[in-house]
Amino acid sequence: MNKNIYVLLAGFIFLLVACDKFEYNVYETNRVKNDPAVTTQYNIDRLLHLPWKDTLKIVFTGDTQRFYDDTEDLVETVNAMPEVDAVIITGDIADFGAAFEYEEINKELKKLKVPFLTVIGNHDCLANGIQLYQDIYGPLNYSFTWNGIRFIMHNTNGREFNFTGSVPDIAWMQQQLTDEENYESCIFVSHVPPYSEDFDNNLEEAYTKLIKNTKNTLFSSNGHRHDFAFNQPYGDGIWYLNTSSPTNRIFSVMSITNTKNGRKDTRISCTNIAY
Amino acid sequence: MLISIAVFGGTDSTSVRKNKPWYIPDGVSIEYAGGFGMVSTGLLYNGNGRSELGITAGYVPHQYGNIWTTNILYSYDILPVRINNFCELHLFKAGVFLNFNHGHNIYLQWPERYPENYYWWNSSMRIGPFLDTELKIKPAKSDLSYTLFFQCLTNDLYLYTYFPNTRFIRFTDIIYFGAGIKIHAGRASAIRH
Repeated sequence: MNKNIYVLLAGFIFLLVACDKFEYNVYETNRVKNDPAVTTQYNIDRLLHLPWKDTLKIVFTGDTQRFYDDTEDLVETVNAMPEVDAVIITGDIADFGAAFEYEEINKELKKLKVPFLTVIGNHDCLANGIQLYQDIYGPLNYSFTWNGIRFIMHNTNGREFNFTGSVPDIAWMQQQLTDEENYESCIFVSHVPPYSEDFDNNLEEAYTKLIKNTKNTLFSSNGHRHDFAFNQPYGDGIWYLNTSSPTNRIFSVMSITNTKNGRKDTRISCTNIAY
Repeated sequence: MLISIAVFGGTDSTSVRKNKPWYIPDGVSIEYAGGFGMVSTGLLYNGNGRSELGITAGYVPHQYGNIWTTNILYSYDILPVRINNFCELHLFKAGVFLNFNHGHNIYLQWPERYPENYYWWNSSMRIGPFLDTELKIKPAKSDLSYTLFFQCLTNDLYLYTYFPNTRFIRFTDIIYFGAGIKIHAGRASAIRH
């Protein structure tokens, strides 16, 4: 072989290394670069640096899977609402568990002016999705206290974990709630609602009891059904919010007036915004 | 791969070619990326015309996802251009691929925990179009030809994502690349006259 071939080969190899469009696989985990701006930790830190507010307004949406044009409009609509403090996405961020999907959706979510937080949905568990979710956002179960409210963000995708009694992790949830002196009220956020057939039925009773018996539960929020609902499905005084999907072009704004004095002074209201 | 070269290496005369059993490949390939793995390699069958069939296997290392792939690629050479006695350019080879992914939580058949049609797609099997651009070089006195190829691909899931979202997702977002080298022997290694 002559020298020209070696020069060609060297140029060729340089091209391969220099360009990140060389995809190993649809389900590869190396493609997603570390982007601190989308991590759960970064967004919690942003929330905790906000000054105390008597009334919080939090946008709830979910199931952004494959609805990129609609989600882009949602981001623009939310950005035009200065009263909004945060956005919570109730799972199913991606559809197939492909790295490409997280790359695309993160381009949109990063445009949000306010902090955003996510929980994992059943579609996010597919293929290498769990690892991608953890690499991109962070833990599947996490909690934090903001404005006196303890947020329990957790994984309820029982079917994806073969209904083994480990999801949702009720012991973990209990642990997050023991220090009652450190929070005034509580909001639960997860993807699959407990009344769904995709929830681990063996855990439904213990789970709903835990939510009911927690100090000042304000409401529990889920996605999965792509359809708005705000009701008390168990008739136990606990409100369950089911978020609409961007494809329905509706999101919910939960308004929480929290005066540090416990439940009697905490008022919640739900407003739907069509866009 | 080396075994294959040994098998067809030096079988340059037409008489031997004619007797070549169908299963003896015309070449081998090694590819970087293209969705077929970090590296994939396999056999090439060129037949008599402009078609090429590749059967390859690939691997994504553990830290990048731990996925094995098996792949079938078919392409048709739309525009072969002879440059000189040693060089040939294939500007457009249009093809389709079928790719099977094997790994943890990737299924050819969804497990029993899911009701029927719970997820509509097949998580293991990908199908998609691709376009190859190739530069084929046959050094003087060599029995083998060396082809550098550059591949642009997309797949069913990306297309399904793209079409309802053409405002936000650019077409270039759903295209990814592969590249590699093919080595041909025998008639398939010849430069067009």
